[in-house]
Amino acid sequence: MHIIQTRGLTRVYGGRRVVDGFDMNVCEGDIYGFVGKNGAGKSTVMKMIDGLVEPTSGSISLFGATSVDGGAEAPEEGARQLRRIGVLIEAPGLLPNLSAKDNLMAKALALGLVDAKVRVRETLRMVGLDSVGKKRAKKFSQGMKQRLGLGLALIGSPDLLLLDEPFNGLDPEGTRDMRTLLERLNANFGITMVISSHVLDQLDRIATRYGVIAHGRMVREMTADEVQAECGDSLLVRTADPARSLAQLERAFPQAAFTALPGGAIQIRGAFETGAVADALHGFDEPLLEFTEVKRDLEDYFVELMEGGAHDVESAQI
Amino acid sequence: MLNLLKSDLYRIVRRADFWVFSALCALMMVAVAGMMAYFASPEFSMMVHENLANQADLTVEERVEAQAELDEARQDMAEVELLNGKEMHSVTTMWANTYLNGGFLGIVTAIFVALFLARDFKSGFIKNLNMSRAGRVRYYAEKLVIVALLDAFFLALCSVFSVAAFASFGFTFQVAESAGAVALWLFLAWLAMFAYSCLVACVVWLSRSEAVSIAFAVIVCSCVVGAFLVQLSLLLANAFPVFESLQYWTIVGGISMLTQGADALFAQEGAAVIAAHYPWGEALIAPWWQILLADALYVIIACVLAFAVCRKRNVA
Repeated sequence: MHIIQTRGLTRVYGGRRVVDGFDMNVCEGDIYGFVGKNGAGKSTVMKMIDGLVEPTSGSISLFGATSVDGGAEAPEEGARQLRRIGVLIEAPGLLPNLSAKDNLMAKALALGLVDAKVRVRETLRMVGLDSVGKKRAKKFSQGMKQRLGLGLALIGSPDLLLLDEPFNGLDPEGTRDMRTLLERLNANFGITMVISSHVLDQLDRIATRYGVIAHGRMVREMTADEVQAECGDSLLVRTADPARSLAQLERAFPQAAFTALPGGAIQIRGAFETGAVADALHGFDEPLLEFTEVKRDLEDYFVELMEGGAHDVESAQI
Repeated sequence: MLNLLKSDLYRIVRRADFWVFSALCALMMVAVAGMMAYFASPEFSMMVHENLANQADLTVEERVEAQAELDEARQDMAEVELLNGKEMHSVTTMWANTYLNGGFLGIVTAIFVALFLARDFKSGFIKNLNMSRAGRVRYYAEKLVIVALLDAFFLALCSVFSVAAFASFGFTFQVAESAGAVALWLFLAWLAMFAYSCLVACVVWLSRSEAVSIAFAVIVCSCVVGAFLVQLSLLLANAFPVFESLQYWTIVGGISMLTQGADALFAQEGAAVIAAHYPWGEALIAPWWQILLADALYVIIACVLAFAVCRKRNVA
């Protein structure tokens, strides 16, 4: 089941389309890595999903029911769906003069939770703040504030978490703890998560699906396996007859992924061995013009996707 | 909405500034009562007379006259009962002069309301609340209710502490007003404070700025703007008589009517009765009715702004 499905989601600020015809699909149980440059529209998309910002047009379907459709919403249905979402968007919304416990209690009461005190204790323990529950939030370190922010998102036992830069301000140990906690919540409670983060190596360890946004548009959605397949080392091959070589390589290496690049080059990714490809190319009896091994990490991969997406958007605008 | 109300009450009683504002109100009432007691004391009267007698620029005749007054005062002093100077007109005029007239209660409640409402936006806590369309309606409705409760709390606090403080300093009242009149006076005083607070709430929700909201609270609720409007209306009334009744449509105008005490609210004739202009013409009405109409109008305007404009604004 789709937990989030957006279609043609658009938000215009002062004539500028910050989010532009955005389509997103998040399935139940996903840890959805939401990747994009600063200002690409990630936070605005999350705010629209959580009802903090109203879309200019487009639809958002949450938990299988359309809650917002071009601004028209069934009020009570929308309210019910939003109760199932926990958010940590931009800064954690803490009340600085209240203690961690009181912050959680304030939200627990606002949600009308039964046994709010017990739930507050559980949440404090879950986010590792049980020993500092009585300390005022303004005296917390950035990492502790992030954890309390996550606690506020979790206290209503949500089915969906929207987390915007949850690793911000965390030291390496804090980052690892946060990542482990998120994994545990997903595995033990089946909480679906949308996580936007610039810390791609952390995202790489937990995300099961990815969505790449550029200039307010979804560039591509893919599974973690697809990213791994496409993102690893690749080969760049150029022959005198690229079309023929591509057909022969596809036949010889059915597990690998091939992309015909502009200028006649062929990019080979996925399951292949460099030596085997070289042998095969010799066997094809084609003059080999280029044979380069390309090393690429996750960051390069996403930057390429985002810039490709941006290029596509600019081309479309021209 | 009840859940939001519980949450806000929980937050309010755990805020240090709530207790600071409450203590400020209590201390202010005690301080005013103490000051009034001192002004009403024979010692203060003696001091004034002595100062008058010692003034250097008095002529010889004036000095002799002042000295004679002083001697006479000294003779009377032993006979003067301490409480003679400590008699106030009524409990409602005492309340009006202690916390209503001059804007003390208006400023205190308005600043607290501004701080409390702006905190949701400043801290981003509002992002933790359900802000669907139905959620927003509930949010703004609940905030108006909590503002009404805060106004009632601060009014009750000031009323109780001022009565206790004045009583402990030995003050008595000349006129015993009926319970109904006192209740109506308190209700109208609360409505005036609520009207101020509703306007402040709208400024908070429109500006989302704590500084702007506090500045508005101080300027408007200290009666500065209201007094200006009243003066302006009197000036314009010279050319356009219809403006004469504009003063009755300000919150300050209502407060100045409340200053005359609970009994004056029911005046059907005499100086207290109001000749107000309405769309259907001029009418002579009792002041309480005019205060109710004027303050309710501000509350309605604020509610319309909250639900028609503020609710539709994006939360973050």
